[in-house]
Amino acid sequence: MTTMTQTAPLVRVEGVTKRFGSGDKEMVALSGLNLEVREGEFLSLLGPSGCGKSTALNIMGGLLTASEGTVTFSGEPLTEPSRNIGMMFQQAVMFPWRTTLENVLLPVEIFGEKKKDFIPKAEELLEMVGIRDFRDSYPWQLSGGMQQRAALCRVLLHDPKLLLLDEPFGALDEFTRESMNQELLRLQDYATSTAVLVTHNITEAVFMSDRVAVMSARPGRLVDIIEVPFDRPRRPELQTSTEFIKLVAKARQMLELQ
Amino acid sequence: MTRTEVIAQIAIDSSPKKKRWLKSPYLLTAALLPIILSIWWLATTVTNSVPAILLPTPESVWAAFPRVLGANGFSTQVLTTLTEIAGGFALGATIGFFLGVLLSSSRRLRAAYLPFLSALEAIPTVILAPIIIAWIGFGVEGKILQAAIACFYAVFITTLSGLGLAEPNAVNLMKSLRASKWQTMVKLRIPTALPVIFGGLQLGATTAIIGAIVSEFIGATGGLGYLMLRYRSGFDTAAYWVIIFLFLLIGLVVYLTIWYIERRFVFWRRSEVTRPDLEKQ
Ligand SMILES: Nc1ncnc2c1ncn2[C@@H]1O[C@H](COP(=O)(O)OP(=O)(O)OP(=O)(O)O)[C@@H](O)[C@H]1O
Ligand SMILES: [Mg+2]
Repeated sequence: MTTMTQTAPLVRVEGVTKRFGSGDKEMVALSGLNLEVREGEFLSLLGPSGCGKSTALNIMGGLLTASEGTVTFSGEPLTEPSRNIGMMFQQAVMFPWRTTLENVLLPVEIFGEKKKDFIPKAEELLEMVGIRDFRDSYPWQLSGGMQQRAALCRVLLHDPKLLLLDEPFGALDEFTRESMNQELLRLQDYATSTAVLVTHNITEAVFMSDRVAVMSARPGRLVDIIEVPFDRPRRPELQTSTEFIKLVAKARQMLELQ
Repeated sequence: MTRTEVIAQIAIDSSPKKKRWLKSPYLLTAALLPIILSIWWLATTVTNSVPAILLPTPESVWAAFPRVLGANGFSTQVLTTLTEIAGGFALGATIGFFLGVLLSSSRRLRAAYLPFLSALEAIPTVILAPIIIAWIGFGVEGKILQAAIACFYAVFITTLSGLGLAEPNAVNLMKSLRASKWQTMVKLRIPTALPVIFGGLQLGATTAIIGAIVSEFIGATGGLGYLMLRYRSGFDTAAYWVIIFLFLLIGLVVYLTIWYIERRFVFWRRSEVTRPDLEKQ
């Protein structure tokens, strides 16, 4: 099932089961999920809607606790959110009463640090995603894609070791989504962090990842892991190559077999 | 802006300056005045179908204005009532806001006190007023307390429900940053709730005015409500109506003031349906 890892994994999810509710209303979202995330890799979680991908991600981020099983992060049991883990959600979650820059600096305020110390870094990140000119604009003056770019800057500001991304670009149109994915790969490389991306898009999963973890329908568990061997940086043309199409077909088959 | 709004905006922009005032909503407000006045005038002065004790003529009310406003100690009475309203509103809104924050943070506190606080709101001012008079007398303090009781609930209940409006994703973001409950409250929940809280403040301000006046009616040594009672017992209906118009004015000023503050505070989201101007978002 899982492939052997050379170094100790950054995240180890072992036999994680998650139940919501109790009694008659009990619902099993995850059932015995095993997963390892290697240091520095880009891993996608691919699975049908409702199979527990967000639940799994929230458990890895310490937002939810597992009903059974364990999660370790850097070898330590994970029981609560960590500063070393950055999360991005389907919506950008920009506070409309804050300017772009103020939104990006939100973690600084929460961590009780000096904003002044982080402004240059925040501006550099905004520059990298091409929205530096909008630093003093409010979120409602930005497009959906620009808001997600800002959210990306916010999550990268403190160089998290692990990025947990729950369909961050799912609400965007196809074109914006593709360019955001490129942006994400570039920035992940720049920040040298490890990333776990939840998606239902098979092509996207294969294009972005070093490995694609395919999950079963609810209650979710791991079906198999597909290794994606292509070099980086990956260019959009890759998606038309035969090997790429073969891998996509393989992932599709795994999803459909269930 | 929607398409129609854009078109409307273009139409406004391209129309000659001198005609712009024709689109002012205040023209509609002003148009109402002659209509009301003429109906009033027809019913009283012209047809004489309503006895003056029920509804005085517009002329007599007009004539009563200088008499009422120029009466000895009138400004003291106005000041008394304004103090009661402002004091009661400030006290009630503050208590309502903090109670809302407190109860929103604890399910146990909610279960214990929410029904009780809601029941308290159901006790009418008229019933409470004699008790408060018996406890702390006829003075301004009792009226402030009365107005505060009348208005706290609107602010309390809107604060409580507004604080629950934060998006689950936003709450998760704060959690993922390990924000404390307090940080989540101040940086997320309260700003999210502000538009709703301002609705509560508008409502609370009117109930504070009602609370103050009703309690003056029940028993007071000064204030506009007290003055009204005196005019009524002297069968000076015209003067009585003058004070009704003064209350209308007070209500208007209070509404516009709160709206103005809201505009400053909640600059990112303005309620489209409760605002009194035509400005575009
Ligand atoms: N807080 C909750 N309480 C009860 N049930 C929940 C809760 N959160 C998730 N679930 C249930 O658990 C299951 C898995 O949900 P989850 O959101 O993890 O799925 P998902 O794979 O992310 O789906 P999607 O791709 O549609 O986002 C769903 O059936 C959902 O109804
Ligand atoms: Mg999901």
